Amino acid sequence: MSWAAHDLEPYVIQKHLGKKVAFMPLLFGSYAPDMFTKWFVYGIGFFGYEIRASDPARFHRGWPGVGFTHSLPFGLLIALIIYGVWRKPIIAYSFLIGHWAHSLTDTGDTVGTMLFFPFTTHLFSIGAWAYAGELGRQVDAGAYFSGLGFVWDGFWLVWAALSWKVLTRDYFRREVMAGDPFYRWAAKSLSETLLLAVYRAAFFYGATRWVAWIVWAHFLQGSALYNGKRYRFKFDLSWGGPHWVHAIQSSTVNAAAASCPCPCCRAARRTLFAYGCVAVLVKVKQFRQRLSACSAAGRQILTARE
Amino acid sequence: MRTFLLYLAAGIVFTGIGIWNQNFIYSYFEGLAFVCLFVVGIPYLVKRLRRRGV
Repeated sequence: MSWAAHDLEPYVIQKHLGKKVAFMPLLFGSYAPDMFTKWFVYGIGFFGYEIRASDPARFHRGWPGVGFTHSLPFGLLIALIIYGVWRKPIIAYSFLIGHWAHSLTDTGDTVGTMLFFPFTTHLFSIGAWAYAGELGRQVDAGAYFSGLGFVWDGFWLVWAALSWKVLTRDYFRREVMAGDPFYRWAAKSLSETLLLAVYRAAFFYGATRWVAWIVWAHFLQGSALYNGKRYRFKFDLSWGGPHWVHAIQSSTVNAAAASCPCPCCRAARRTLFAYGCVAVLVKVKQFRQRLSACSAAGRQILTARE
Repeated sequence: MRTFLLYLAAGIVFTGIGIWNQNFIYSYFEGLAFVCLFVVGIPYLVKRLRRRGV
């Protein structure tokens, strides 16, 4: 996982592609794989009860779990749905670029992502920094900001800062407003100052979050307690580190799920995926037909009134 | 320059809040809400109050 890269990558992409991408779907795509699932990895409390994934790594990245949200075909499927609804290619492929950037970035840790799910549940991992999501948010943050993860985020922070021109008002008017239908639509009712703040927010959040966690982990707290064990946040920039934390490995996450190699189980995944795609496309088409029928009826009513 | 300083001040305050309690830097939406409030909401309010004072 990455703690700030997903916030900063869209600005670098924006700088290189300019009007060819729409920023809002790009950012949405960059957040999409974790948007509805990350909270369950660390758990959340309600009136004294805590709900949390029993196996956070498998839930987040594996199968069975919601690891499919990090797969490239899943991004493509959502982009197709977006295209089916809005009929604007720029929204669909901007989302896709953001989603794929997220999926590829997350291959940097020791768990990796199922890039080609449902064709394979293999987790593609570079293994540069330790995945420690099962140890809670604070230890995970301490581990991430003690290993190569913090260097990776720092790299994106520097690159995004070097692309500072994309944050200027002039650039926003010239490139972002021209490329992004969302901002053009929002500009009809909202002030430019507010839209600029919304546009800059991800950079602001990524940069401040990176600094805050580093200061917290290395200059103030220095350690955190999880299940009675204290973890001290020492810098360890070796590959796959920090090694003071037990990193979950990609080879162990999907081991049980991959234990059924029979042709029936293997083929079923692909077939189900194909059926799922067809079903979604049919539903999108039906929805569009209904929408056009409704708008035609509305037009008829309006003409009759006139 | 004034806008840059406003964002810088917002960044310093938000970093401080995040260090104090990490639950405030949980998601992008907190950052978005904070920056909108700090850079747009508060200056707007100050402007309104000043006008009323005059």
